[in-house]
Amino acid sequence: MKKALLLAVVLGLTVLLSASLLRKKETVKTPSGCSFYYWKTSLSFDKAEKALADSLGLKRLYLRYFDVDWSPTLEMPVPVGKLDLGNNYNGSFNQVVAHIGDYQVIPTIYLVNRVFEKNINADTLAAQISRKIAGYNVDLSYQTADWGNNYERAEEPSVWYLPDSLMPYTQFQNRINEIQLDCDWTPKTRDRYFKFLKAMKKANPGMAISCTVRLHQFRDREQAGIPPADRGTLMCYNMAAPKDFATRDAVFDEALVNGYLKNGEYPLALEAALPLFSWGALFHENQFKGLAAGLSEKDVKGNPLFAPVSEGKYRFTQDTVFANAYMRQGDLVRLDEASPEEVAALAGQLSKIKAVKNISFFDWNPSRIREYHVHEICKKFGR
Amino acid sequence: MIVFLGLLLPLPFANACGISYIGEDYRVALLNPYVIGDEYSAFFYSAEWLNSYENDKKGGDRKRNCEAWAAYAGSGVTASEVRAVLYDTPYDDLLNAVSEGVDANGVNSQRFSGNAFFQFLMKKEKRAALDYLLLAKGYEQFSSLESTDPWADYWATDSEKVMSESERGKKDVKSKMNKQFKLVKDPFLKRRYAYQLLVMSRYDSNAERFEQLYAEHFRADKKDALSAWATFHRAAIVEDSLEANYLLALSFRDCPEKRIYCYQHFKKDLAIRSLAYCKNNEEKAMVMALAALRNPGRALSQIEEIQSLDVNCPLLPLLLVRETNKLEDWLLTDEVTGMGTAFYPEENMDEKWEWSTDQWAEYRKLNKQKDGQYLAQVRQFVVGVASQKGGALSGDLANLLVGHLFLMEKKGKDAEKYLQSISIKATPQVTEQQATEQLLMLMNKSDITRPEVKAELAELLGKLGKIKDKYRRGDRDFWVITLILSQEYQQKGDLLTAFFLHNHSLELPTFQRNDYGTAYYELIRFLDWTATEKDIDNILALLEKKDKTAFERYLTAAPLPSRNALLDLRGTISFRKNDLPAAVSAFEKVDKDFWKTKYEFRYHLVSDPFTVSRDSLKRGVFPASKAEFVKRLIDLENEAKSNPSKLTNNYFMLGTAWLNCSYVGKTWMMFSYGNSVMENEMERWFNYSYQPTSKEMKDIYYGANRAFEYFDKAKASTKEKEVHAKVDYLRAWHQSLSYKLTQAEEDEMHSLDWDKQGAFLLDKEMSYFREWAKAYKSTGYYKDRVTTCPVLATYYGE
Repeated sequence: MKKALLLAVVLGLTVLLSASLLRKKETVKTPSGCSFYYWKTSLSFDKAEKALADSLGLKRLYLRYFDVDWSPTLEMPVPVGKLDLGNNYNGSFNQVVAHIGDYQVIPTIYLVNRVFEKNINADTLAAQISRKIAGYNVDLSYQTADWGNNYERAEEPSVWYLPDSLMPYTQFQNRINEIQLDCDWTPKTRDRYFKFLKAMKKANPGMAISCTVRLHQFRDREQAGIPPADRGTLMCYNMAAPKDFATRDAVFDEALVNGYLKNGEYPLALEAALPLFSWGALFHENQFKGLAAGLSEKDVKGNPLFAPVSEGKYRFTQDTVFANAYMRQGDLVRLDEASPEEVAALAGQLSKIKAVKNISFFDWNPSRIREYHVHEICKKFGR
Repeated sequence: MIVFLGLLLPLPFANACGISYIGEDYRVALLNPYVIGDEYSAFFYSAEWLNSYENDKKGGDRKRNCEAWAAYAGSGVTASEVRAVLYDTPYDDLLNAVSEGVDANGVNSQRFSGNAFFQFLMKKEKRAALDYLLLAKGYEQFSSLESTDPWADYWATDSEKVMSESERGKKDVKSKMNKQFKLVKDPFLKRRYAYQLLVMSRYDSNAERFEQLYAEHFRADKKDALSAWATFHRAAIVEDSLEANYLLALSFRDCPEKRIYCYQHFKKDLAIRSLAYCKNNEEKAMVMALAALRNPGRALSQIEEIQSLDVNCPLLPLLLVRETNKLEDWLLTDEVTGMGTAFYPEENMDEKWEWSTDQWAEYRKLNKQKDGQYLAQVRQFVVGVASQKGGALSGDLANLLVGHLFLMEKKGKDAEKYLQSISIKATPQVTEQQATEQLLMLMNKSDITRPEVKAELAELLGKLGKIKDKYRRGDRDFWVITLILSQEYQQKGDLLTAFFLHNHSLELPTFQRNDYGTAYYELIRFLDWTATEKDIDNILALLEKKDKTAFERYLTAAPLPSRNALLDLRGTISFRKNDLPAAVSAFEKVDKDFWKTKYEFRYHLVSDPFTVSRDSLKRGVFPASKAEFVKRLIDLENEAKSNPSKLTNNYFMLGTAWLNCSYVGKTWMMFSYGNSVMENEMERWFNYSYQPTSKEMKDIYYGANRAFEYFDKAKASTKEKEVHAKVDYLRAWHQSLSYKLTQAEEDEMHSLDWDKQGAFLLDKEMSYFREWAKAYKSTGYYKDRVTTCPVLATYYGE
């Protein structure tokens, strides 16, 4: 409750400052350093995570702010699944969010492709999204500033009445110089989506607009088109349909990736995103029952609930409710994941493609980062 | 001179325009109420109206409803698959999923991959079930519509538009539901349509239609969730308030998702009369339990009655945990935090200041005695419950409560017997609570200064630290435990351990911390004005110790001041005592640029400490470091002693420096870590607690005694009138800045118009210069002063 009134004062100040700060963006450059996606619904970046990020030399964090989906009720695109900033004020300001203040955050928005199946107005949507992002930037910057009893910064001069004590806040704002849009566009929605990308560029002067490029869009570029963006992120994962029982590994399949990357060069500067995630695809009598997020080899190996069948496939040994699905004895789980060796090899392969300027990882997961020796992959790739 | 009068002191180190804590920020609760699970967490004891404002959305009513749907769908559909569609999916997402449909292989939309219930709904022949669900969810959506433009800021919501859209949507759904109700033949769906129409008739205040639907579809069958919800809605439409009260009590039991409404609308004053509607003792116990739940005071007599009516009343554990938490608040919150019993400030702020602290203290003492007696009564009752078999309170929980209550009474031996009876099969929450009990037991029964006890404490604190974020306010409860432990060590004279434990609990509001504190000061507050140089040395030694014990490792993991800050404090402690060589020795170990770059030193240790001037244009420059400044003081004193010709000048300079290091001086930050207006006038300036605590230090800081000792020596060493003029001027100046109005003067000032009050104060301030002006009119210093200070000239000019 302490400092409650300050909130109002500072928020007012924040709004005034933000407009001028946004005009002072750094020049858009090709990014360097190790980057990660932060794809959770609530933001919690604790001290240990910050230490890990610093040890990796993390510079940029693609932070999913919200998704955009179609609302059949309102008959318009709407923001959904907004990132919960944790309402950092809870009796005192916790520093969980403040820890991301030292990195460059790239607001990232996932747009469900069906939005572009509708007859939307690209300029209106771009304006709506840009405004929402700007609001989030302010909220997030505000939380990264050192308003509370931040014991780690106790010796820094006290804030709020001295202009330079707002530095953590202003620096954070100034570092936001890019917005990334993520959409699995199809030839059918391509034109509307590209028009929207252009509208985003227009609505955000001084900001780089990047977008994700899926492997099929990279390979089938003639049908998919080249997105009118400042740069792209090539998503080197999700290579096959997880629902398909015949899929070998939906997250990563070396044979498939070679096919996708055959036509190596691309007319857009790219960052390549590598997978640090996994799931178990659940099947009952060959019928897909759902995904068990995060399930990995180490979770099933030696677990009496599972018996190995073949590489990456396990059978349930008893009836159980697993990941909200009722799995019967004999049902199968297929582990979809890239091994640490595969991720390292993929990075090596990508380093040979000129268009790929940098690599990033999907998504922020401290235990996997350690397991996959991400710092070494970053170091090796270093461009 | 103008600047002297304007009280233009440095800005206080305020992080806020005002400080207030809500009671829940600091209420002491050593018994985690979650020992009974989280089903009733909204109703745990709280200084606020409710502990949380969320109904239990995973309760038995929703579970039964999902099970009913799963049974209806058959084909291996599980209740959790139903829940995913029914409760975990917004209406729009369901509509999108339905429009995506299923692919050629019968695999459905991404959202419901593998969900057999969704597949069931997507079957052509089950269209009627899907239609019902879409209508029901649609009605829910329109009933709770918040915005028609989710892109707009919430304050820009067009509420009229939202209202009309909501009404339009509901009307549309209602008409479709009425139509379907008549058409549908499937009894499962028919009953559900009946329920929806019953709810609508409640909100339309159509009692006749409500009763007709209720009688036809729900009165006879009380088992399923729909009947329970129908009964809940009936409580809102029946005219008899006693019957409504009775129905609310039943609904509180049967409808977890409606409990907050039931709690809100239950009239505890009608509870006894509502008993007439009860058909058995179980129902009577529920009515009484809801009344007890609404009781913010002592509820033991009600609990006893409930126990006698129905030992299985599901609210008994909640009520006993509430009673224990109440007692902890009444007995311990003030004792531990000094903040009084937890309260919600907005409601009680006026009353708080109506009486003096002393008047309240008397009643606090009296009430504490009564609470102690009540604690024994509650404990006796729970001992009785623990001796019985069966009932709503499990044996483990009863033993835990008795043990906990005994520990509150500081009867460790009695507590031990019960706590040891807790079985290894106790719930995880009870097991977790045992760590707290063990820690309290160690404080109660063991010598906490012994190494083996410290090792045990380290283990327990580690355990508790790991679970503190698991429960709402768990962090607060953990800070309370560390603060209590800190206080125990302090009582035993172990300031070192007390300091570290204290800093583990820094986020807990206490009376001492109820101020405009900075993070820097929070870290050293415990030590400032309390610690000796030796204490600081001990802290530094522990921090540097290589092979720390587990307890020491725990201690030193607290938020701590840096080595520089500790050495600065050590030097400051010596400086305050005028042990200047010791001060230099400490200050010299601090990084050279520390005071130029860190904390507020950067802004407040900037002026020349050997020149008295409030004028910012004549600041001069502070020496290179605190150490250099103090060395200069030592040199001046030594030189004065060894060279009589320098005596007057050097003592005058020393006086000037100490005056600057006093409350009114520009270099006050040599002596204190904060500075605020009027802090010299009050024992405890509200929301400000940087002040010295001893009379000696107050005299030096606020009274500038040490400065005037030097000035007097300077004066005594010479007959030169100019020197006397300067010294006496500075005394008058200090008095004009430090005076406190007498009560008579206060009254006189307040009797004046507001615009005259400034002049009154100016007269008062200038009065201190009267004698000086008379005595030194002929001096050059007098002329200099009246020339540079126009106000002085106005009063005492030629």
